[in-house]
Amino acid sequence: MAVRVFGWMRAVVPVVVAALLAAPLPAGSAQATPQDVLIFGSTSDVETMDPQVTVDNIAWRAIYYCYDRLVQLKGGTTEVAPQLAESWTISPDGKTFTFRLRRGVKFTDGTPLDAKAVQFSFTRLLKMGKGAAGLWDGILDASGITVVNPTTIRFTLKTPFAPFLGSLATDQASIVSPGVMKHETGGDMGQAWLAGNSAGSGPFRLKEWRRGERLVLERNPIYWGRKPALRQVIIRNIPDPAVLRDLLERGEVDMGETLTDDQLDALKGKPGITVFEAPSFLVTYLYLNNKNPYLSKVKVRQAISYAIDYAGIIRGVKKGRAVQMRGPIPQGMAGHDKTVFQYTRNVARARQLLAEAGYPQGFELGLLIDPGIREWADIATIVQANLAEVGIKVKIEGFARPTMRAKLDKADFDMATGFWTPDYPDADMFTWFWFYSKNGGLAGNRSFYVNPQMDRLVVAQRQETDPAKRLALFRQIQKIAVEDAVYVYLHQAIYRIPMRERVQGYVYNPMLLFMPNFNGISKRP
Amino acid sequence: MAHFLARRLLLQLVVFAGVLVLTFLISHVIPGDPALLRAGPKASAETIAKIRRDMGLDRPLPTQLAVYVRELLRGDLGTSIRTQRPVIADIAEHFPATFELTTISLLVVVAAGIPLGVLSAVRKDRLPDHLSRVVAISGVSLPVFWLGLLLIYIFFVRLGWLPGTGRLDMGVDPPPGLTGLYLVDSIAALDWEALRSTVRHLLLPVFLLSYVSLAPVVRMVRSSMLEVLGQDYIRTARAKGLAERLVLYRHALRNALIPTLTVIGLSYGTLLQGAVVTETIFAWPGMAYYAVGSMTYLDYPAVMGITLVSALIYTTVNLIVDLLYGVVDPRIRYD
Repeated sequence: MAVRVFGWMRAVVPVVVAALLAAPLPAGSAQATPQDVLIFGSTSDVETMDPQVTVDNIAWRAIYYCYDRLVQLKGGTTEVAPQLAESWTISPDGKTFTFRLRRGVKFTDGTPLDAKAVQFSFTRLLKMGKGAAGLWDGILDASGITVVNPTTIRFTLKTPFAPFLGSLATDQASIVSPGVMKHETGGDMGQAWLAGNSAGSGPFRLKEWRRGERLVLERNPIYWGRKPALRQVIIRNIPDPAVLRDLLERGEVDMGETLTDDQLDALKGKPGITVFEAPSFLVTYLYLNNKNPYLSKVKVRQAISYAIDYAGIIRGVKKGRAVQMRGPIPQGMAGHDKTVFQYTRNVARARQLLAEAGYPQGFELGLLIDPGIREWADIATIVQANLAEVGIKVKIEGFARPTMRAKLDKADFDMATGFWTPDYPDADMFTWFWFYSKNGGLAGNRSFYVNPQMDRLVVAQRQETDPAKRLALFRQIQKIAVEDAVYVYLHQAIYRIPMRERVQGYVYNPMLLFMPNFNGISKRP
Repeated sequence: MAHFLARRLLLQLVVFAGVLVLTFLISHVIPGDPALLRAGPKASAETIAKIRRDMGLDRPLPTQLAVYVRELLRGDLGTSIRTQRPVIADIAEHFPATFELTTISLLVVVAAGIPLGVLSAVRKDRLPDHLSRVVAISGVSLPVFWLGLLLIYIFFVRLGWLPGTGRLDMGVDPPPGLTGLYLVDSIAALDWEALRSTVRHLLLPVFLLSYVSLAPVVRMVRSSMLEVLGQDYIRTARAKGLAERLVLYRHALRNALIPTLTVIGLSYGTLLQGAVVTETIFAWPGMAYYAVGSMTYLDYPAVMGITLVSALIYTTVNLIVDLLYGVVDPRIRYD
């Protein structure tokens, strides 16, 4: 009887099965994407498209090539070259920068890009005062930006700031069209609108964004410079790295990040795939909270620096894809001193220093991490084992990112793991931020280190206009930073990005991490 | 009827207020500060303080709640901290994806759950009953994330038959359209490539979501069918020579459906819950996906907005179910 009852199912099931069977395509046979469209797979989504709000590299990836800036980084280097500014002069006191602008440039909304527009853009940035404006805190305010004539703009800084020129090449310094004010609601200076649109003069513009799904950049038809080879860049949101890896292998995605080192190793050598590798300025280090009674003692900090197995961490956690740091300034950054002392594992020396500090029996310390970051969790385990050998008992404390950040800012931790990347190409990012006593907390001095001599040095290098004298100051800073073992300087990562072999013209710039040069990339047929 | 509706709507308001206050308190007592995230890793104390002021986070909690309620009454869910857009716009953008996924899954649950339950009851303690029990129980017992990953591994990674992520293939443009429901939009635009891609992308997540939500419906249909099938009027119907199919579907099932309806209404809640994991695993850009992103960012306005909208959907579905009782069982009257 039941057979007849389910008779209707007999009709439906074959249809469903047929649909299921008809749907599958053999692996890898998905239609090849057009030659002038780049499909970029990203494991994180963009939060906002407003360059004057966000400080997130993933958002910058989508934003950067929608805008121009006064200056740009030359190719893969950290050297500054003209972009919207054709030339500039710097006053002898290092406080006044005058730029001559390129003529005839227009924003994608048709507004002319002149000195007034540049003034508007920086005024909007500073007035909104979001994270993106943080770079110029205490250095530049709106009154310091003057329109000399339609093609000349002048910046007068409150204090000499040697890295200023380089800071103008960052995403935060993107020139935004005054046209955004047409979309202002409730005095937000067009923020709600610009969060989901672009208003620049760069080689691309935002065509479409379906959040969590895909973001499409299209060639700017009225771009003043060399037209990009790509008609479109489609940034697809693929949160699972394993899926991204598979799509890369099948050729459905042309480029993508971020994959784990294991996955990249597995991809390497697969037909049709290249994995690009180069040193980066992404450093991993440990904060040693100087407000902690133990960690306030130099000898304790030195002992910890001696106890850590740097090579073991690089081998075990980074699979060899990193180089050990030598002081705070990474290799490849002007100012890096390759003669400064480098800690290596020396358990006997560590024990001796602890005894001299008065703790032969050791003590207990917490190590704050965000367990969501696999690298940190792995490092924490090794650090725990290393310090146990010298008598320091480490308790690993895992907190989600927002909580961890709040604890860091309030000095509510003993030791913590951290990453740092420079926003502008200057060793200032690794010195003034890290050691200036007034930057305690998230601002950069996460060890809450206080040393008046260091304060003088890090401020002096900012104001020094003579490059040779600046280098000498950086040497002194690095020497003290290492002797005082302010942080545990672990390693600087090797940056790796996988792409299909047909992707041509990729140029890596260590300052533009996660921001491939979409304007220079093309695809082979 | 009007009286019943008014009472139900009033009750809904009370539930709503409760959800609002609870979510507000829970999300705000979590240690952490969204201003620190907004400000970025290198922000100065002044920048952080300014952002905190802009977001109103420097005010006492009751004031923040009062401000929130005032804005809510004006229909404003606030501005998302993460995306800097009105929360209502973010939700409107992500809602269709979730609606498409959960609605189709609910249809599958009903379409598969009722026949399976009937089959179980009719063939009680025989092979079909055991099989249907295995299907139903395995669905509730297997962890959703594990099953989801397994499906992706088998059908996407190993076999390459079905896509493992998103709503459309890499190279396929989304259909133009107003609804945001790709099935509807692609049919409306006669875009067969998008339709095909949409259907293929729906298969795994819909299977996962309906599979894990199937059990209550199957079990409820089975037990109420067994109860009904033992009644005298069924014997009478059979005795007068009515076709078995009519006995089962017109006489037995209709009466067995009343408790089942409640379970189906409640299972919409299960579906919304399951959508959190399903959307995360399949990178399905729906509300749950947006919710997870917002939570890890401590994006209070977004979290509040999603919770309120989910509560609204859930209570509305259950209201509809209550009204449907009258349709299924004419003896039920609302007053």
